Amino acid sequence: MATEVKAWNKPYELDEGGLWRTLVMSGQCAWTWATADGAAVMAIVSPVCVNGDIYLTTIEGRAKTNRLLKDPRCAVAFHHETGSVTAIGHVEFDLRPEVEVMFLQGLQERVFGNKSETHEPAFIWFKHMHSPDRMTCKFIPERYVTYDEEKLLAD
Amino acid sequence: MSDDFKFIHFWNDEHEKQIRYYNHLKEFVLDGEGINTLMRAVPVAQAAWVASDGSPRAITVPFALLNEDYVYFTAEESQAIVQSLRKDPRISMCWGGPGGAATVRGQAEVISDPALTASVCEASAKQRYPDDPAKASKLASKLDSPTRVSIKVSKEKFITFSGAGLPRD
Repeated sequence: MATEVKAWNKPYELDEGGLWRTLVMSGQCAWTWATADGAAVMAIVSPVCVNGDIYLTTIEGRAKTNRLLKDPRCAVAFHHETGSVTAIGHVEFDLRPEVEVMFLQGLQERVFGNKSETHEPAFIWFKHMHSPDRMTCKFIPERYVTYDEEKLLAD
Repeated sequence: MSDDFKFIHFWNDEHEKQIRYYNHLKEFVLDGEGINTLMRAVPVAQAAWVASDGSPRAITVPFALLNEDYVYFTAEESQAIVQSLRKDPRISMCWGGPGGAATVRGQAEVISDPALTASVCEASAKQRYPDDPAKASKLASKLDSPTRVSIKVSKEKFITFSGAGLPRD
């Protein structure tokens, strides 16, 4: 795994287990892209991390989507009590229905769990998420920057 | 549409009124008080800038709200974010909590002022660990160093999301 860190935090990297725990358990991340005039903008989104891959969702026609279709380079920053991870890379849109279903089911499971008493709210949530213009994409990481604050505090 | 969505369509068919999808974001925004509440409630923020090749970068940072007009955080002078913000001060920061999210777009000013940096380190460590003064104090002392600078971010435009208004029907 390629990891880029600056010298100051080199001793405070997460190990690979900590990296993946942070990705899976954080529940949200800051998705960053570049606008047409070259500024960085970010938004909090709910990713789904499954089988070692990061998936994100957006809406057709939104500024973020239009920009990422032209310039797919982006970054996603995660934070959890286990540490902080920034993944730098790009996205590849995947419009297959099965990918959207996989994404929504992954998100639903994290939000509502797999309990019978949450089936109804989970379905209501599904209904509102599954809009005709929803798009799903896979984040392709090129490198990770990680930080384990517990290591800093223990140093 | 694929049969994969059949169960969702079945559910939708059972409801007569128009579905209000979650992507109709204009309906779900935080007001000024909601933004302040969110920013004061979360331990860290994310900050975004562009690298020299135009690609976006992001990092998670402890932050401080020293006054109403600006957000502050610190970084090592040698960090990429400092080098990049000196060339292009446009920055974006965001905060995410259980009830919503907020993004601010603004301008960053890199300030080499040890007294200010010490204040930001202390305030951001308290924000990071509000219920653990010992840990906050330790983090502040670890962060504060002669090679650290403050970054002051103006709040020019907010883009927000509120989960409180999501449809429950």
